Formats: sequence, C-alpha cells, structure tokens
Amino acid sequence: MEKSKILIIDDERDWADSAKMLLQDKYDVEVVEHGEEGIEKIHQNYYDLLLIDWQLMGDKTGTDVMVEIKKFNKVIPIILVSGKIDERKPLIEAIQKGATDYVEKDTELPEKLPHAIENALDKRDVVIRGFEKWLNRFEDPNQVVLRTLSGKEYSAKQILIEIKKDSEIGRRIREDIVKVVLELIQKGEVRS
Amino acid sequence: MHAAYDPPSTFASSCAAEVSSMLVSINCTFFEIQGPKACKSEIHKHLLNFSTDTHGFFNYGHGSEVALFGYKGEVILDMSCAHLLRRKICYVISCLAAKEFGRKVISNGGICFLGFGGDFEYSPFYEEIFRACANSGAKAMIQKKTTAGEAFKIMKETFDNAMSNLVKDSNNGNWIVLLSLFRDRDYLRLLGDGSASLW
Repeated sequence: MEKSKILIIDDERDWADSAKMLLQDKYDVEVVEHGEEGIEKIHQNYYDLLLIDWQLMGDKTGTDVMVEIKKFNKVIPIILVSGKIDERKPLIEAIQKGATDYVEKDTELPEKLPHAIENALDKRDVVIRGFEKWLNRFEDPNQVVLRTLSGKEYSAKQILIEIKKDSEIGRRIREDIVKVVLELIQKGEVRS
Repeated sequence: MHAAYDPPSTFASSCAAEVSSMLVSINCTFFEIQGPKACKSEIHKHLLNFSTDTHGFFNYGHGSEVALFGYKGEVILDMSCAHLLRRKICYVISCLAAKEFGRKVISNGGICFLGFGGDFEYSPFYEEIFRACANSGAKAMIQKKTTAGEAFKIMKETFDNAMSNLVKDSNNGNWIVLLSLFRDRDYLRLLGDGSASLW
C-alpha cells in the first residue's frame, strides 16, 4: 500500500526538516517554505494531509493559505502548527475556518504530531471504511450498482478499486462521499 | 418523449410512464412519443406542428451537453435545431443536457429548461427513490400547478429528503445511493424563466 502523502508548508526550515525526518518512515513528506508555492503544489498534486505553519511569514499567513486551499479542496485534512502562543483566540478562529487540528511546536512534538496526523487521516477514512463495508454486502461484487443516463455503468468492485488505487475518478468519488457525509452532519442527520 | 432500449433508458422510460399517468388523470391533451417512434423525424414533425400557446416538453432518456438522444441513440434534438423548443417549458431527465444544449434552447426562445448539468446517476437497486426525485418537479408542475422555479425547489427538497431518509433508515449504509442523490441534486439546473407554469 502506498504511503499517505503529506505536504508541510513552513518557512521555519529547521523545524520542517525535523518534522520530515520524524514522519518519513510512515509517510511520503514534501516541504515548501511559501504559501503560494504550497497552493500551487496542491493544485498540481494529490496530498492526503497538510501541515501548515499558522505563523507563516510573507504575504500570506497560515490561515490565509488554509482558507485559500479550502476554496478548492474542502475535504483535505489540515493541521495547523505554531510556536508557543499566549493568546489562543486567533488560533481558535483559524480552526473554525477549517483546520482539522492544531499542534504546538514544542518538546512533545514527536508524540503529538504523529498522533494528530493519524487521527486526522482516520477521521477522513472512517467514511471510506463505511463505504467499503457497504460494498462488501454484495454477494457479487461485479454486479452493477450504479448507472448513468449517459450509459455508463459501475460495479461495487470497480468503484472500490478506483478509490483504493487513488485514481482520478477514485479521488473524486472519495471526496464526493466525504462531502455527502459532511453535508448530512451539518444538517444533523448523522453524528460525526 | 422516451425510448426504452437499454437499462438506463428503460429506467428513464418508467419515469416518463408515471408522468403520462399524471397527465391522463387530469385529462390533459398530450402526445407521447416512445419506443422506435422516438426518432428525429417524428419528434421534429410534432414540434413543428404543435401549435398551442402553452406547452411543456418532457424528455426522458440519454443526453449529452449538446444533444438529446432517442431510440437506440439517434440524435433527436441538437444545437442546430434547439429553436424547435421555442416557447416551451422543457423538463429534461437526461444527462448533461442543461449545459450547452439547454442554454441554446433558451437563447433560441425556449421559456425555461429544467434539467441536469452532469451525468444523472441512479442505483438499479433504488430506482423508486430516483424515480420519485426525478419526477418530483413534473409532479409539482402538473398536479400542484406550480411554476418551474417552485418545481425546481421541490426537486431539490425531494433529493434532500431522500438522502435524509436513507441515512435514518439504514445506519448510514447506502453510500452509492447517497452519493448519486447528492450529485444529481447538485447537477440540477433551471435555465430561463422560473416564473413560467404549464397552465
């Protein structure tokens, strides 16, 4: 199974490199220093999770970058990281704008960061696991479960394969499923 | 217009049959073009000869961004003859037709165009749910005499309710069905004058 891809957007290069060292056995990690560069990369490539420095220097803050990314990718988990801060209110506001979690760059980082990442990916994958469970109910996985009025047909097996191999269609389906569930959660139909 | 010749068009045709029954029940005059008769010459003949002032055009079958298809995939209406739907309220349960084709119909004098801007998806195991959603707008316009705009809103609500009921009834299990309903609802488009009504 392919490693999950993580992009770190942080201009504090030493910290970003240490985080990469810490995570690279389990994840495929890339690092960029500037917000614009990160946004460009996300437009071009697929990432499972983003780590963004909340206190990013330059034209865009970490929150600005996150908000911009959320405009075109609502489902990617984003963990904000920052140095020690005294005033938490701005950070809470940033989290309310779409961050999945927040981690401080302190001495407990080797424990906290991997845990936060696993947690964020797990939250995202709970939907996929539910989907897989439903598909497994079919006695014949090649049975057509979806048709379109333009004539395309999909079996449960095909859909699951596309999702698992993370193809373009699979990604789209996965993101659609997450959107469905998020919308239903917002409407109070399912518990998160 | 509907023409059952493969599984998706058979489903679409079953939706159309329900609309025919509604029209019969209110003694409405209508022409039903179906099966092998759902061909270009027949459709064009009817559209050219149909002279009443207010009328709807209900289409159920395959579609693309630029055309509607009849029996065995014959192109029955495309960008070059979109003017044939002028002064008509179009209700189109076909894939993608509410894109270029729908816009062309409106720019050529069509009153409004209610349809889908993407692939209309449904699960063969839950056809009743999809039929109810696909026909909810037609039902509103025919039986409740709503405007196209109100019918459009009712369709969205019907999709929403179907999703909610599925979640309540089956422990959030029917992902494919939820996904399809969600996409179909998002693909719904109303072009032209939403204040128009059939009556």
